[in-house]
Amino acid sequence: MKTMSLKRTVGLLVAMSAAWGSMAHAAGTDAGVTISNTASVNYTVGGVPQTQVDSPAAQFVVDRKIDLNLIETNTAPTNTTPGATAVVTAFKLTNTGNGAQGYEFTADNTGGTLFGNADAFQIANQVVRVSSAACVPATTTTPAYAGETATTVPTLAEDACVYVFVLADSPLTAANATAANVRLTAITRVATSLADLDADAAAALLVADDPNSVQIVFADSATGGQTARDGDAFADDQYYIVGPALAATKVAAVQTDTLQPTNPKPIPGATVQYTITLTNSGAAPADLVAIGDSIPANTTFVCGSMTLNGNPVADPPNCATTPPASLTATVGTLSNVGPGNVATFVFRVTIN
Amino acid sequence: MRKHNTARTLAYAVSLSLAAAATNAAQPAPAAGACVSLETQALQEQSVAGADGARKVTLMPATKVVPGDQVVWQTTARNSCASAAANVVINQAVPEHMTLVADSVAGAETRVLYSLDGKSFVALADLVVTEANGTKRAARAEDVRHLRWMLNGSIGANQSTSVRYSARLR
Repeated sequence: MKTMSLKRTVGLLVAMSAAWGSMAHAAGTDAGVTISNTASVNYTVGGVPQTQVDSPAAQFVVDRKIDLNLIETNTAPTNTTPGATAVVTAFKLTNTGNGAQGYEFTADNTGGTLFGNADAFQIANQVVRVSSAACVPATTTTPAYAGETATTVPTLAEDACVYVFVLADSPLTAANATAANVRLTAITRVATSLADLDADAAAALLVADDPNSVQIVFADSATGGQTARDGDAFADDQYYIVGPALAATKVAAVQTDTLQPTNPKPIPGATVQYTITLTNSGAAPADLVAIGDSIPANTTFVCGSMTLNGNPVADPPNCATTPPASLTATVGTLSNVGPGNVATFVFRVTIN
Repeated sequence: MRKHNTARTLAYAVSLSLAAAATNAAQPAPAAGACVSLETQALQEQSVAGADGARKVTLMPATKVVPGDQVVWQTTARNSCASAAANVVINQAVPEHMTLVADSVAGAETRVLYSLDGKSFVALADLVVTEANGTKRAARAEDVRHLRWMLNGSIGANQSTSVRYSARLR
């Protein structure tokens, strides 16, 4: 019996072994590659071997697979403070299709609960910036925003990735320990021209299927509430307000009166001590903290009686001759971690 | 319309039914004196809504193929002579950029042999791959580059037979 067509087989073998190593694209065979296949048959008729018959090649062209993967890079909120501007969150976009594509982006507020925090306020002035730093698909090191101004990705090769930043402002009114969720959406476009793909895909659905031309197939999945097969992908990140939370209490205690040594009463001539306790129970230290108080009417500040955390505080100028109407002590940075998160300010007055 | 053996279809996959004329099928070679003509088609499983609204999977000519998709390569041999064609052996390679899908090779009343190089054909269980470092291991479906179907019987006069396998686009 005759064996198969060695001529063709050997030819394919050579091509195969040469191309095997370079074929390991995760996103697969490039769009536009022609896949061709033939068969051969050997047989006998009446015991007589017949000439081998080859089938004509059956072939198709690999279509353009549109797929993308957009992730938020650190799976944690981005801490910010009330009134902070252009605070950066980072995302990573990977082209998992089989051809180069362009990408455009939108960033907007979104609701829901992320990282265990419900969306509670809205960010403002959000903009998208594309990182110019190198992106390696397998690594997770996120570059810092370096002032890049690009807002689109004109061309991203298959299997390649790019970092994308969202910059946004937090309102001054944002409360401590509240969150704002932001959604970055990547929209697949035609490479370089950034023309809309949707029209092409719609057209591809309308025209008769053609095995000999490259057609567009949206392959993005519906994971995480996304719309499948639309060429878009979104990922959410969160701004989380990490600010100080200061609370003050004020306690008055009559120390002495002029008549009775025990159980002093607030009568003219008696001394009253005020203790102001300032506590930071927030999520961040407070900077440039100063405690101020005004001297109550009909009382006079006792010079040299001011202390802060037990340490003497210098009197206002000319204390003895010009009794101050108000007092100030500079705390500086007040930690949010106990026991150093409390400042105690003490001063005395006498009742006129 | 191709005459099709029901038993053969069932042997391959119960849910499949064959589509009619394939637009991208290469036309059978003109049988210049040859009794047997051979036709290869690239087919895809497509979910099609029937008249009753129920969706069923049908084999249609492969048109939109992207990486990860499976294509069914079907080869049909037709005997146009008045005599039976015996000792029929059909050879086919797995195309470049594609890998054989495990357990997808089918053909009624055939013995299937597998090859890594197109020269040595053995049963799949006997196929051994030599790694770059010299170690040997049993071949997996994705290692197979060539297939051979040996028909047990013959193709009768004006009869045809089909064999097929599935391959996934890398």
